[in-house]
Amino acid sequence: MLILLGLLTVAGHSARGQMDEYSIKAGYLYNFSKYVTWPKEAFRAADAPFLICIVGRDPFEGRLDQAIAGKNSGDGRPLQVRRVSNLDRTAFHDCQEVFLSKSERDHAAEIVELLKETPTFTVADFESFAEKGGIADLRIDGARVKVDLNISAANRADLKINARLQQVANLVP
Amino acid sequence: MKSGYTLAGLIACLVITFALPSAAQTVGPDGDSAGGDSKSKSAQEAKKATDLSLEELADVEVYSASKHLQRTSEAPSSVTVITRDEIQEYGYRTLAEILNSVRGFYITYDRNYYYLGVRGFGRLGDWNSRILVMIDGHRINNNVYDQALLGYEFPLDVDLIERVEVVPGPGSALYGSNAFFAVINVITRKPAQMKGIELSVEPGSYGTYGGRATYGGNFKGVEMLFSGGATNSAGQNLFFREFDTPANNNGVAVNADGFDDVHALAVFGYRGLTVEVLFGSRDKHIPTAAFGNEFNDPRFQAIDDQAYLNLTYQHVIAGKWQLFARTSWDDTSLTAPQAPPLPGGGVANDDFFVHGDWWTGELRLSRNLAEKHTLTFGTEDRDNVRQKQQFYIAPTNTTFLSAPSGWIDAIYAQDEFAITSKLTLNAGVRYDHYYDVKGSTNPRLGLIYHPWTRTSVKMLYGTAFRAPSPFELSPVAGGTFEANPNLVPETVRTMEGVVEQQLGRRFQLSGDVFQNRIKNLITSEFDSSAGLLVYRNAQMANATGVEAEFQAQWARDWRVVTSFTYTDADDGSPADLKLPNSPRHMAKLNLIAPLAWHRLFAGLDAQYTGIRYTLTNQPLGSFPIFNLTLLTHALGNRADFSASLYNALNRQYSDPGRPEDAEGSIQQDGRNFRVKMTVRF
Repeated sequence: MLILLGLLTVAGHSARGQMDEYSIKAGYLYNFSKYVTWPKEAFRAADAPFLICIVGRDPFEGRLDQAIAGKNSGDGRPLQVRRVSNLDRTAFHDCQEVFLSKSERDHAAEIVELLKETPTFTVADFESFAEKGGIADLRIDGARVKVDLNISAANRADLKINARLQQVANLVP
Repeated sequence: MKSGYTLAGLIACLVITFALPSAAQTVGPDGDSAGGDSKSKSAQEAKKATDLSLEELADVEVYSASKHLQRTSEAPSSVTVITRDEIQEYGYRTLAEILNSVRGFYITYDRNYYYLGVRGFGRLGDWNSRILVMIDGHRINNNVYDQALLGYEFPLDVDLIERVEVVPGPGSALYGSNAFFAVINVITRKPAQMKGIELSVEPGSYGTYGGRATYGGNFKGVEMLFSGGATNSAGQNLFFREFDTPANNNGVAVNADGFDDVHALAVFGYRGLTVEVLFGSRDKHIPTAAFGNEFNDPRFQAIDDQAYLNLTYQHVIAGKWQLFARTSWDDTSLTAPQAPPLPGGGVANDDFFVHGDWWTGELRLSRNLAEKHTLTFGTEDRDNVRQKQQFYIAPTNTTFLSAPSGWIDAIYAQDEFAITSKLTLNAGVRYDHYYDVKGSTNPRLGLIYHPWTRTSVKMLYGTAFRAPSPFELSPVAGGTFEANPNLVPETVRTMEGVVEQQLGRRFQLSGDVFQNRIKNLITSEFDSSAGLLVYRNAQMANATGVEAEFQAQWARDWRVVTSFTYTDADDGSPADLKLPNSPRHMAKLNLIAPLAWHRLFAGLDAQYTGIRYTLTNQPLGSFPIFNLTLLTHALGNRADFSASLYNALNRQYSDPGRPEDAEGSIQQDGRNFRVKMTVRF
């Protein structure tokens, strides 16, 4: 039996284990760029990069930059991370994904209102962001990071969510 | 003490054995080297996160001794959470084995049911009615004995558990009766987490074979899960000293202790609505000849059935109010054919039958107010449609019957008040109204203070109650009891202080002191004027104790949890008598070691139980038990294989017998094993 177990351990390739909370969230932000479709008007030019913008105090500590380094979005654009201040609202228009950190809780409603009909994927990791009109929130459920997805908010933003992402996510409301 | 040295020596040997293969870790594909540069480590990990598929991302566990601290540190108690991964890694077969690893808890088994003792209180003859067990917030304790089933008779398959949340302490301020010493909530895996088919087989000792098939899917936005499983165990030959006479086969019960059990679960989820149908049935042969039955007779069994239909609806109203509504129908029954010996020779064919049905409606509203208060209001109503007990005595053709019915209504409120960013007050109260006994109001107050981010200090005060069960009010037990409608609820007053300290990224230490004062304990006494037994509020108990727990997590996959509990329990009388089945010392050790490139895991689940006294005041020696499991995930996480050895050192030990047992103590199983294979498509 032990020999059998030994052989099988070599056969498998994925290691079970644990990851830092923000490594997992960086993984999700990367995957959103692959499993969501943005309309052409969301980009300034055909070769413009795909921007993931972090608003507020950055909780990733460099993980997001390291995760996307050298990688491309679903439609082949190079991924970039930008940090944006909540006060500089015009900067949001260049962003395809906007991640609101917990420090921006009090501004969440305004930012969602500002971006709701623009092709911007709004995501945060504080409770009920998706229920309040954001497109996605990343929440800790037990020992895992889960995605709550608000499809109607995505539709309003003219963003199409791939069926695979819908399957994995928890649809809200 | 010899056993003490043996215990320490064995733990040391095991730790060394598992520490040796750690050299292999540095060559692992995840590039993890012990003590490597933390910045490059997080860079590699972040990159790895983008290599995972969406499904794998949703399945990875968050590394966080600190998050655990945050998550459970907001609860006004010392919470223990056991996850699905841990259930696999430690080879737990039943909820009883899971609970046996929780600090301060201990399981007693009489080869009929598993009984849970908490913090020095494990009365022999009681029916798990001082713990509230729930599945997804749905109460499992039946409405005739208020009994919670914990072994194979627990209606949910252990493989379908996502996690078990254990909150020790009084929970009546939220949950009402039976939340006396602890509240245990078993959370099931959700359809969204189980896409596809999962099949499992598990052969084990004593001719045990188990199998399960589960399907999870999504059809037009409706999430579904269907699962069915069964286990059959042939049993073993068991020797009982008390029956060692030629007439009783020299004390050997042949092919005894076997059981058959079946589980089924169906879940449908659509937006905020969830429909859950659960069924479980276990038919167990009872080898101890309890309740005066004929020894070595295969007819004496207990068939426990439990089923429910549960509808819940969750919704956020106007972006502010969280609504939770639930309605459910429960059905439980116990059929126990009895085979008592007749005075003239031969065996009678008596029948004991219990049947309970109840309908529950629950409504809860929560709201966050000014970011400082989280208010909750709720009501819970239960219609005990049927609470039937029936005992048929064949030789005299008489039937004893009791079948009352009535409502239990309750309202409760709770406020979690963030006084400052470091100090939270959790206050709650609940009033329960009963149709047949006096009602009860129970408050609970908890103060949670974080002087620094890595420290939390909690103080808890609360009361809880246990209403007399229909069985205690009117016991149907073959004409040996009389009724007592004047019983009042038992009460417990608890005070607890907890300190939790995060030490660096890897270690967490916590300690608590507690005191339980229990009054109006319902006890069976002999009424000489009637010549019958009767239940009365006749006793008291006190338990004071201290616990310490140490948790460590490192190199992402190594995990150790160890705890010690010291309890001083007595009967509250001037004589300060000890309680039976109350160990003064308890220790737990749980260790997970990754071997062979992080794909093979070894899990050690060990418990030490101190000396306990039987009903006739005989001491049962202390003992350590070691359970060992090897687990591997293969084929890209689509298959799991595990091999477990329970009571690996074949330690002989016994649990105290109960009032209905002829045996003063009942010997437990020696070394036994289980192999388990699960595949997913």
